[in-house]
Amino acid sequence: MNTRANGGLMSVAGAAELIERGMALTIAGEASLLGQLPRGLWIGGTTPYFMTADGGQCRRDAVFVQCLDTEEVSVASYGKDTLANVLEDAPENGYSIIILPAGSPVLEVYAHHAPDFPDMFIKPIVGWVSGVHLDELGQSSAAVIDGRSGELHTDKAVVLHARLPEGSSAVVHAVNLFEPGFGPELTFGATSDSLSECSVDGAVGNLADVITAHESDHRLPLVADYCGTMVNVSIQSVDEAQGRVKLYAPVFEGVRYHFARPVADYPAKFMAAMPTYPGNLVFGCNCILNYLHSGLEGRKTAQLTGPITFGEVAYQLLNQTAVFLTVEHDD
Amino acid sequence: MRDTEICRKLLQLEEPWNVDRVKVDVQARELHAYLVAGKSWFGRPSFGRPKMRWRHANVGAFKTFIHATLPDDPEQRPESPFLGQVDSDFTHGLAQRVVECLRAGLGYRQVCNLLEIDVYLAWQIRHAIGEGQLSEEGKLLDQGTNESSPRQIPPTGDPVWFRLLESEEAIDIHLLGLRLLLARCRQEFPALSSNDAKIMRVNTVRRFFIKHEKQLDHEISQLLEMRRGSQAGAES
Repeated sequence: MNTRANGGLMSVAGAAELIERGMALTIAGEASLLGQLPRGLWIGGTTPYFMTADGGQCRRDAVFVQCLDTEEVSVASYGKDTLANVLEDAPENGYSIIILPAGSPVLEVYAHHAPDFPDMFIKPIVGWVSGVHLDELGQSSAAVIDGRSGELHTDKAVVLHARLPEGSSAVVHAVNLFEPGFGPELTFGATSDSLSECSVDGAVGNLADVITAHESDHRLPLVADYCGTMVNVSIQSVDEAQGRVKLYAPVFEGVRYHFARPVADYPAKFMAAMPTYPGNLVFGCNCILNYLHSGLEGRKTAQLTGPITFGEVAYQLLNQTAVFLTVEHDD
Repeated sequence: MRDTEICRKLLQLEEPWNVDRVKVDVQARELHAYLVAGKSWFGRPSFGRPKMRWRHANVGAFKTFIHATLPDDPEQRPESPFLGQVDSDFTHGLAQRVVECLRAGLGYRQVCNLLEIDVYLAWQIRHAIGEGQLSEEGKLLDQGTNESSPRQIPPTGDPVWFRLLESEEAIDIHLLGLRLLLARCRQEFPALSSNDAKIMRVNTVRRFFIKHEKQLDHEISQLLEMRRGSQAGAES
């Protein structure tokens, strides 16, 4: 553990010291640890899983801190009725980091409607979905914390808006190793995360039936090609009796999806996919499903460290994706 | 009094400009004024199609659009409130109203609600002022912007934007934000029935190009190549 000014996994005391120095921070950890931190210019979310410089770890005695080197920072929280304003509040030149609690109505609003929010895609926004230890699923709730008040929320999103000086720009990156496989093309008549009917190669079908018929591995997401970027939607559960499939994020109406092909040796492929010099990396996160299904515990993912999360935000909500943000100079 | 004469007074036109014809769409609450420099031919509408279309400040409850053709010689182009610039989507008069509202401390959302304009148009006006393209309005709003010059980037009315959004033509894009935005707009574009809705999507994509121009050399050169290809195709 350390208390380096550039962050990482550290004790509560180490994080408290950085907060008291007035640094702008995003902090991930268990709710009981986040609750011990002093008030200040920070936002936090619950997860005990982290990608550290030493590899993937589950830690219930430490927090993961990311320090933001920026000119001017503000913190805000949003309920489901005000969330659409999030990017209108963001600076013209800068970036926003958002943390949303898993299973909350505010996450549902973001998942379904973020692509339509004013200024979406124009202003950079990254972030993650907070969760709980997998042994406590259904027993405790994911939460976020507004460092100004120290209040934990299970029904709000917290956002840190950072302004950058002239000549610097924030760039959002996503690393997704999944690619469309050879199965049928799937399209959906409505934006939804709970599905039955779909179009299978142009014919009416049922997604649960397709998954059963193709003996698809539930660990592989649905993938859509967004002008060269692969966007995943992960499968949460398949109810064959009811013919319904629950997803971790919605599929969007009219978008063409395929089941992903398997990725062998995720850590090695991830290392190859990360740029050798990613730049001034100020924020990163990776998905809990990559951690679980790709065996990241104890294994490193290049320079990308940060919380292991229950959904990732690179503008819109993504699944099974690593996200990072760099600050670059225009010259 | 003829409708064109009433419209001339409402728009406070100055010589040599006159209203050639007026189109009022009551259902859409839109007023379209087609202007000519000089008198129309014996009071009859002229048949030349105006080359420019600008959004103007509302006349009453009606969203107002000015259609006109500016002289080819830039020196001869007036900066009258009811006219705009060749490559812009708004009149000087509307820009002035936006500036007055911003100076009074209103936020973008409030300005847009008050003037019934979309946020992208308000942003374009603010950007043009920051770039010094609207010198008079810029004097009023003494505030710069961090964004780069849009000089390389085609204007909103350029057909290349429609080609970009209507086709599935591959374009090699480095920035994740532009990939997601373009994919989204391409998904939506075929279902949009109104031209205004399509222009709004064009404005959104164009805004991304303007805001991130310094990072988009590769993408802008492909866009310009696409435009050259379209022009060559049209000429052959």
